[in-house]
Order: sequence, then C-alpha cells, then structure tokens
Amino acid sequence: MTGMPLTAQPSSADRATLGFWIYILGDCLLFGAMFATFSVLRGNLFTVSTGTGLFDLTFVLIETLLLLTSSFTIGLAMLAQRRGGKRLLLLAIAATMLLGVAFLVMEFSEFAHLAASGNDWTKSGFLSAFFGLIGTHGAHVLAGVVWMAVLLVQLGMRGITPAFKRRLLCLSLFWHFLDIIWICIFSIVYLMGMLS
Amino acid sequence: MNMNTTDTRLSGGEPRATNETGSFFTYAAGFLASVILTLVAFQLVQADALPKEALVPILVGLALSQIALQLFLFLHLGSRSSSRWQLPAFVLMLIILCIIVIGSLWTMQNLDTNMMPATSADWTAFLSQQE
Repeated sequence: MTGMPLTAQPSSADRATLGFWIYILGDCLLFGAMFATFSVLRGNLFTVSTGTGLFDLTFVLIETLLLLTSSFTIGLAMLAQRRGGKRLLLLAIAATMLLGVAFLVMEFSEFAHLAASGNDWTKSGFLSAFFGLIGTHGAHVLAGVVWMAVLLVQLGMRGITPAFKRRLLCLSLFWHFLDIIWICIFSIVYLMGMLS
Repeated sequence: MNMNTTDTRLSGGEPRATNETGSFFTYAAGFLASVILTLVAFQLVQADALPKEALVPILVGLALSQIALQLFLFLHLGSRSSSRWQLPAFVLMLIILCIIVIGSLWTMQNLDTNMMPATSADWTAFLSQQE
C-alpha cells in the first residue's frame, strides 16, 4: 500500500483537467478543418477583392497584441491564485476580461466595416471561409469572456474554493489555446493574405 | 505520519498543475518573446522587401516558434506535473490534424489541376458572354 506511487490515483481536479484538455484537442481539430477550408477557398474570389485591399494590418496587429496581453494576464491570475491573493486575482481576471471585450469590439467593427463596404460572407468563397474561421474564433472568445464574468461573481461570493481553482485552471488552458489559434489566423489569414 | 500526509494529498483535490509549473519569469519571458516574434513578422510583411517565396517559409517559421513557445511556457505541455496522457493525446491530435489539412489541400489541388481551367478572369469573360 505504501509502495504505491502517488500518480496511480489521480485526483478529481486532475481528471477534470485532462478531460478539458481532450476537449481542447477536439477543438483544435475543428479549427484545423476550418483552416483547411480557408486554404482551399482562399483563391476563390469572384471579384478582384483580395486580402490586400480588404484588411488594415495595423488594426489587426493591435487585436493580436490585445489577445497576447490577455494571455499574459490570465497567467498572472494563475500565479495570484496560487499565492492566495484575492485582490490581485480579481484584478488579473478583470483585466483579462476587459482585454477580451476590447478584442471582440475591434473584431466586430472589422466585420461591420467589411459588410458595409459590400464584402459580406455571401460575396465569395474566400469571404465565406474568412467569416467562418474568424467568427468561430470570436465565438470562442465570447464564451471565454462570459466564463470570466461567472468566475468573478463566484470569486466575490465564495472566495477561492477548490472548485474555483479547477475552473480557473481550465479557463487558463482555454484562453492560452485561443491565443495560439489566433497566431495561426494572424499569420495565415492576414500576413500571408497581404502577400498575394 | 507518512501515511497521513499521503492521504491528505490524495483527497485534497488540489490541482497539481497549479502547484509546480509556471512562475512570473516564464510568463513574462513567453509574453515578451511572443510580442517580439509578432512584431518581426508584422514588420517583414509591412516592409515588403523580400519576395513572396522567401517570406512565406519565414512567416511559417516565426508562427511555429511562437506556438511552440506558448505550448511550453503557457500551457506547460509535457511538464513534470501535467498528466501522463496530456502529451500522447496531443501527438495523436497533431497526426489527425495533419491528415485533415494536408489531405484536404492535396485532394483539392489535384481536383483543381485536373478540371477545366477557371480563374476569376475566365469567369468574368464567361459571364459577360452570357449577358
């Protein structure tokens, strides 16, 4: 009995984290399929509008930096939680949430701008794939923001409980994962889109 | 005595990953390196100094190194405290991902080259004929 290694019996938190990790890997496959679709359809432009004329790269760079900073602040939230500082933890989650909201506002304004200039998702295969891919990522970010709002309320009401720690750990995995997906979007959709 | 501490560790429900991995230094280093890699890629495209054939592999390299950096520094992939199954599951995902992405591009590339040629210019010509 004493000779049994500790790792033989994973705690419920470990199991929850592994389960969530498997969900994230499944989500990776979803995005992989969307990237494949985008790469296949990227040349299907009915009119001459390519990425070069459609995107404002500096605007997208600011979006990228917002999301990158929020990935850092959720890391700070994990550190604050470990040290038990409730004030700092509250601040870090709120900062991450605000950065996420700012990102969503910028993305929505980009979509609105594209649609207003006559480039909505019905216009070409490229635009359908573009709105599909970026929109799916945006929906994930929105889910993350709602998750953070719920966590803030729970933290205010009950403090740092084991269940809260588990939820924050899963949220941080989710948020870092979304940032990694955005690196792919920034490189493949925007940067390489400017080249052709 | 020893048994007692073991028992509390097993029933405590503490997420182990939060106890050992990540410090302010690893998060700050990952953040700074990511910002630098992003800005380098952005500047390379903005400057427009290199031909497309040279720029695409560089951009892919920059993106892959940033992803690897974040996987290890932020997601703590393969670290001592993470679950035994984390890495194998991740590798399986990568294999399936490659099959989906490379398979799609390969198939569609073949279809494209074996079908009637139709660029957007061809379509415009075709439609103006119909009118």
